[in-house]
Amino acid sequence: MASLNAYAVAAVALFAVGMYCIASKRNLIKLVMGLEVISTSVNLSFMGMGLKENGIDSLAQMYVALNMAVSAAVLALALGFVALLYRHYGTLDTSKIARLRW
Amino acid sequence: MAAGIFEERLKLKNLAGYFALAGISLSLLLSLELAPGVYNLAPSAPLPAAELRVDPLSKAICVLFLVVFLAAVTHSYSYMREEGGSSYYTLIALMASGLVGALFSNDLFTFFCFWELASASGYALVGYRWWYWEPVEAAFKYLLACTVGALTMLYAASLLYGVAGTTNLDELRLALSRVDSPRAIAAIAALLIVGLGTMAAAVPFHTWLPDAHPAAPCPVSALLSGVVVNVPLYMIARLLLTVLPQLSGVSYALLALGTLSGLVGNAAALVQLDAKRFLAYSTIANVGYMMVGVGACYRATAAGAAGIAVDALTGVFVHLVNHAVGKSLLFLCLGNVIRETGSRLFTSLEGYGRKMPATGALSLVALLNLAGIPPVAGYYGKALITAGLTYYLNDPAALAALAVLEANFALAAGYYAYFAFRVLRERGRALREAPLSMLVPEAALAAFVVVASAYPGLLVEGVRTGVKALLGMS
Repeated sequence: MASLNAYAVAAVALFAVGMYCIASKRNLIKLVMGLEVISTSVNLSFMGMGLKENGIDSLAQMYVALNMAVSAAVLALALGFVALLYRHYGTLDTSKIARLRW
Repeated sequence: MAAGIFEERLKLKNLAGYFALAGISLSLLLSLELAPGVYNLAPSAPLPAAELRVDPLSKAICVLFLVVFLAAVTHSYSYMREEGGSSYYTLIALMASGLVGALFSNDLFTFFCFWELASASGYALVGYRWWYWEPVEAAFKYLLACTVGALTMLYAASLLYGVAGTTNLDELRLALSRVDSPRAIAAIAALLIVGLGTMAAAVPFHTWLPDAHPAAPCPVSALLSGVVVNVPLYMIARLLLTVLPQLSGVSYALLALGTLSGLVGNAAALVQLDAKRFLAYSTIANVGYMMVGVGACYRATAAGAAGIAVDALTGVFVHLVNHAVGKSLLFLCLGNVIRETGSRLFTSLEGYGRKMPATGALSLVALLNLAGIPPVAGYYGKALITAGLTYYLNDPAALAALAVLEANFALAAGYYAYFAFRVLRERGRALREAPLSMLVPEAALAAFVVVASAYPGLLVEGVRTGVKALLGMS
């Protein structure tokens, strides 16, 4: 088992920050930023777990590159929805966009 | 060969309608020919972490998924005549390839990539009618919840990678059996249950589903409720039962989540005025039943009662088949009606069975199957899940789960019967019967229900063989 290194610990903290952001923020853009932070924490976690004496395991590098691409696609879609929501409601505040009971 | 299927379908992505249909039919034919085994996505230069595994069970589920996809695409020609452009069919084809890939993945990271392909097309399909407010809001909510779920699962995958140095499920099983740190495994199992539970909409994480499924066009709702929620469930079963070492707490977590989903789903369904929202809540309840079944199987495996474990898991997958067919059939039938009435409210749908006899008859088949009243195929899955639980009557948790589950089955049978009553009621305005292009795919799904009800042994025994292979008992 890879010993718990600073990267893995930072990843846990970052994951918690992202979750907190999604749970508490009321601005749609900040929610999307929360998603990005969680995605980054997963990348960091893969890096921390793949850390060897002579660098980072190539498997971990591949995971991170692919995850970056996947989350970029999803976040682009998310920002598209945010733009549409802004057009429908004229606001980014989730407490005002509450017709479906957030 | 499996890789060939995806390429086959992805090449068609810029062409619309008929090409989606042709692509899905082709992959259906190819998937019938798939031989069980392990395939790498790049056979000439094998990639690490890009492995697909075909076993009899996942092959059967794949065939079922593609049949439902075919029905939904065919149904879309009339339903989406004005609104459906080439991007609509492209997204459906992408969703099909993502789901089939996710179903066959033998690696957590491959699963994540395919799942994101499927669910990203799902978000876009829910928000497809972006000129209305509701689909956009529902799609954003769906995206937020499901992406968090998928990333939580991926985080668990990164921890597994740290513990075992791989995300390949077969290698993980070997590596984890040598790891002796129950606390780490428990944390990973918890993250996996939360992540996959969010993707499958188990109760505390379900809030996105009752918004997303009704807001989508009807054929897409049929796919989301009938097909998409099943893939994370299959993965939960596979990961917890065959990959991670057994832990006593996990079965309680599954039983608790499952019974809670059953209760909340059914209770919330009762008060809905919107027919599609009603069905969406009932999907949550059905996800709950299947989770209870996985929990029962887990308990039985831990206790060494292999026969009971096989029974419970067979129940899960028989129920998965019945629910997939029944729920998508019902959503498609509602599509026929909603296309006429332009409203999803029960009050405006009431009595359609009399005005649209063919649609009415087909929805009755679906309703009977979902209600699970004995001679119908829908009964057998529920019965086997129950059988999996009755083995542990001396355990209060299992007994409580059993009682809640039985109450839920009765409640569900009751409200589906009430639904059927409202369908057949003598009232409502004149409605035109749906065109053949909508009725034929529905009739095909209904025929499946009828055949499965006439020969339940075929279905149950077929699934049982697959389950034994999955649990490594063949």
